[in-house]
Amino acid sequence: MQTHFDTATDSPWRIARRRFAAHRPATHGLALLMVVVVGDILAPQLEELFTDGPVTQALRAGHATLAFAAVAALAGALTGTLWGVLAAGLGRQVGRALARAAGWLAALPLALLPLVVAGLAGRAPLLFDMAVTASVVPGVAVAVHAIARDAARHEFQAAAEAAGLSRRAILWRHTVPGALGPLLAALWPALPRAMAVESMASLLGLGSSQTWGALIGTAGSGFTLLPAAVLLAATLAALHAVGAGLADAFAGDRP
Amino acid sequence: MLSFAFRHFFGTLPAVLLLAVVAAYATPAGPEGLARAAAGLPRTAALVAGALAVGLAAGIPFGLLAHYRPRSPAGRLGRMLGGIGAAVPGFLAAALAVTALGPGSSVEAAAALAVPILAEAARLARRGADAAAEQGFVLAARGRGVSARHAFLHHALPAALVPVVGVLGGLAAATTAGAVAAEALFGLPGTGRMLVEAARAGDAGGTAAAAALLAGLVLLLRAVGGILCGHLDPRARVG
Repeated sequence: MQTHFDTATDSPWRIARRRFAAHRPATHGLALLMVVVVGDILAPQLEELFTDGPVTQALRAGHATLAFAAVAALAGALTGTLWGVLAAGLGRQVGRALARAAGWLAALPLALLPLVVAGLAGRAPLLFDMAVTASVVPGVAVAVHAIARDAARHEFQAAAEAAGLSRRAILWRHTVPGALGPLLAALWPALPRAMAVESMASLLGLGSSQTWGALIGTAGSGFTLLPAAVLLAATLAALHAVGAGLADAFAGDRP
Repeated sequence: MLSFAFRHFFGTLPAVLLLAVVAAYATPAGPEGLARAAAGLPRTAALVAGALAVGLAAGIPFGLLAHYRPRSPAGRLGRMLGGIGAAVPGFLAAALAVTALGPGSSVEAAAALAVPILAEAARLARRGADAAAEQGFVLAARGRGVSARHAFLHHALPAALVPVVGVLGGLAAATTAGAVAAEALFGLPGTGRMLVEAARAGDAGGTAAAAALLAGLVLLLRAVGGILCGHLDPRARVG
């Protein structure tokens, strides 16, 4: 992969942007993702081109799928970030216990959580939303814990301490800006994960009836299944490709 | 190595036993529900293990060919496969297969579940082979007079397999979730189908028992992955 930048003078964000641009699957994934999002925005106009059928239904369901995944991933990412930061920042025993708990939970098949919650506590929509959100939290917490722990060990951190900066100044001027990029790369996978978990539960008849997963689950033939399946597969592939590009862009010591 | 394997396996066992005890004594269905769920576990375990075995056995050679023979048709296919795993998760592969083939046997379900594993194994094996080539120890071994075959089998291959084996736990978790969907869609009797039916019916006891056993299965497969990783990479045995 050819990237042209000077690691000594270019800013970390500029280096990351160029690395991302040099990652072909990521740029293709981003383009595909933009097509899906624009298609979702233009869905009412596009619906007029097709007669009421599987394509129209898939276009309509795209809005609910994307919106649900975005909200669940955002809530999961915020909760997981809080968990990871607390695990790294709290005292040794409490922090370790939190990190261990996140690792333990992340090892379980959390995609089944909406099914387990439906069986144990009923099929209320709010419970379903919370279960999908909770399924992404431990993975995010593990990733954020690793980033927060490493952020405190960077050389520029030691240099700032040696220069006599206060802890607050080090945190806001060095630690947080330095960790933002890797944090973005670590949080991104929550989006495809939330979409996959929601789609699987809806496919099995336990989630919303207006998403791609539900359309796939209720499709009687290949003709009715394909539009929703293709849109779901393309969106998941695009999200993963962008995630791989972000991980590559922020890999290594600098940025 | 043996002590590492014992440590890894018995480190997981308490959690598996705890899940079974919770399912047996802390749910309304009690030991009866656990027994019902356990009756289907061998089928689900065979489905998951079969999908993992087929996916890994087919995916790793494609990944290695993508590194060693990038211009060959198989090598090109190995490069292309990388994106499929993310695009077609197990439940989607199962839904597509059941629509195309109709409700069928566990062999068809395992073949559908093997597709994302195959793609992920190809991607990771290629990445592992790329990383091994960059480190130069294969070149050093060749420089010391080691044959190309010996250098590949004893140095390059284990290093290329480490990333694949390292994610075996994650693959097992994803495949088990896919197997739950596959059993429900293909109409196969197993713990996964019992979980879906219990969840739909609001049967708390059946849900807890099936979920606990499936979680135990994933933890055991994760332990197997950890042991294999320790076998291939001595650094994994430390700490």
